[in-house]
Amino acid sequence: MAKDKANPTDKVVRNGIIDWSRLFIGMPTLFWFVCLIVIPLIVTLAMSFASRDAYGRIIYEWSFDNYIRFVDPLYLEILWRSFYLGLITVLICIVIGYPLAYFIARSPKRYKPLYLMMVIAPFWINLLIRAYGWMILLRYEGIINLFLRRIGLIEEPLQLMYNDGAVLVGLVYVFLQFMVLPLYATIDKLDWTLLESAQDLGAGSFQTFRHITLPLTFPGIVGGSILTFVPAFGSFIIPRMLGGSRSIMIGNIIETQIKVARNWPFASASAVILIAAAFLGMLIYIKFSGRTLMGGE
Amino acid sequence: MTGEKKAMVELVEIEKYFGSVGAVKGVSLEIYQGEFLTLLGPSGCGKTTTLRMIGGFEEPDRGDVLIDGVSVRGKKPFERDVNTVFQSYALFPHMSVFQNVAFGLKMKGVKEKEYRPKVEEALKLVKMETYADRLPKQLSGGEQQRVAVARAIVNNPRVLLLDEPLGALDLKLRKQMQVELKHLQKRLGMTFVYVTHDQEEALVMSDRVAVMNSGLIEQVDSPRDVYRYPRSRFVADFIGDTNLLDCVMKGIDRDYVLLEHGETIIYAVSHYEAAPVSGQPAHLSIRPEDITILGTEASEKLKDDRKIGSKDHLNVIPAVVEEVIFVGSTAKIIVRTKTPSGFTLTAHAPISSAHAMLGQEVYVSWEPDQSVFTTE
Repeated sequence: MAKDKANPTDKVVRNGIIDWSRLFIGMPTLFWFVCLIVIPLIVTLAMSFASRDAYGRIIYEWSFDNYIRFVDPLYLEILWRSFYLGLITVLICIVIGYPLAYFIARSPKRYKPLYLMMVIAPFWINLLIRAYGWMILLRYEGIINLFLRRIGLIEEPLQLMYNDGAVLVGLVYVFLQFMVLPLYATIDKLDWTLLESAQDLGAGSFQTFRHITLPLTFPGIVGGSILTFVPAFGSFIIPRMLGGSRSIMIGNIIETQIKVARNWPFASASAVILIAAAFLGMLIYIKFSGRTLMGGE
Repeated sequence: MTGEKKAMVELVEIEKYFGSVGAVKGVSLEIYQGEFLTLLGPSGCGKTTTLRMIGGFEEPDRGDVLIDGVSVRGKKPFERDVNTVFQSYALFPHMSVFQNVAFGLKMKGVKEKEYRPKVEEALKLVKMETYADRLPKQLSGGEQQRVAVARAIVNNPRVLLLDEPLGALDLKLRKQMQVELKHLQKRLGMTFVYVTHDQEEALVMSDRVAVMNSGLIEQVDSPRDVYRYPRSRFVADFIGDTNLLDCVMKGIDRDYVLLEHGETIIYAVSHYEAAPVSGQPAHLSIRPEDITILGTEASEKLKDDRKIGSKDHLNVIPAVVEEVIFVGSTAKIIVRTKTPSGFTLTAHAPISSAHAMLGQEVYVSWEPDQSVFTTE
């Protein structure tokens, strides 16, 4: 509706004239953006075409060697697994996050802040501590195995850690809120009379969800998916702590190349590939999802 | 409506409480087939809740709702043969006008081949056939309203429920849509239950008006009778402008009931009370258009004739014109009576003579049968 239309005075540059006061307000953000994102990215990109000497010093001789080195079944498999784990994380987050967000949005107003707080609260605890928490739960002599043995459900402890399953549990746990919050925002904005109207016109609960609720809250799913996928795809703490040697992700390659192998140029090339893959994936996703469910909107 | 009236919707002593707050406190009403019935009342009177109980969006705590003779208690909105036009229109923003109107038929499993002509016909009925491919946000408020009506009537429901559908439109468009909706209802012969707080809208459109106040129906009658013979003080006050005087019954004189308002005796006619009881309080309503202001000449003549109080000259009261307000086609004249305890009355007068009256001593007069009283 009319209020959705962008206000023409919101633009910093209007009719070729720069609104300096507005630009001034945006300066701090612009400063951070340039210093902490644009410049490091340019450095990373430049470094990815360099090489290193025996002591790890960077030699700026342009070549594609680092990229060629990456095209190796070993690295490609890790890249693919990272992508795949990120994707599964997103799917699980949708399945868990959608009902949760729906529940919170439909709750009485006075309970909403409490529920939202419960979703956000884990974020205040350091990621490492939370990962250790999961280790206590999942390890060979961990709480879950102890409990299952105590009630006599299993004889021998289960191997719950050091596999893709453990990594997924960790990723979903850490990134669920990035799915829940944008979903909550869109579901909460949903006009409930539209659902009543659909029911009035003969749609049952499932049909109402399929034809009205889902398409109208789809932007929340898209937003949540992007917010969840990008960090899950590039994460390295969770796979390193909960995953075994076979569950390493591309984030771990970059980390190892920087800290252990001291091969910054190769780490840079891996990072560029990670960013490019994430970007490409999102591009395809947005294009695809925009076509099918939003009717070209 | 001729012959036997068939009840399409029957409300039997329905009650609805939200917590301890009573929204509807025992409403019984029969709505006839093919009639345009309006639930009229101020906000919070329970009219929308009553409508929502017919539509199936609320369940009554007590009582029963029958549609075409069958109880619909416990039935979901999609299991009832009624459709609703919502106040906010509730058009699906991600669907075109055509898809919106087709939605109900699609949900009932009608094939595209069959529903396409029906949707087109419904759009034609509301003059929106050229807008089929637009999205709701590309339409004006009035156009969205038409689409909402088309989306409901395309399902050919037994009853169409309309919840203040014109509330968001500007006055001119609203008046135009009132006439269009009324014509549409006549053409389709469909039962319309309409909710509004706008008394003028209710009078213009309805076959019958049910006036609601704090969860109860005060009166159900034709617009004319609701206006002319209000059953309660609330109805008299809510419908149209009126002069309300709190009186005490004094007795009976000839065919008239004598009412006393601050030592002034007023002759009135009883429409509802069979035997007026002396000493009982009563509310008298006199519509401004029923009050005649006699000019100086006519008043002088009255003084000479000393006819005041005779059969032809009941309810003639001396007064002073205090204020003249221009309201468009007429002028509002506010007078203060020159009686022992003076009270103010509002009358209408043609603009041509109105301004000359300011400050003049006049007589105001009205026919006894135009002064309606009620004890409720």
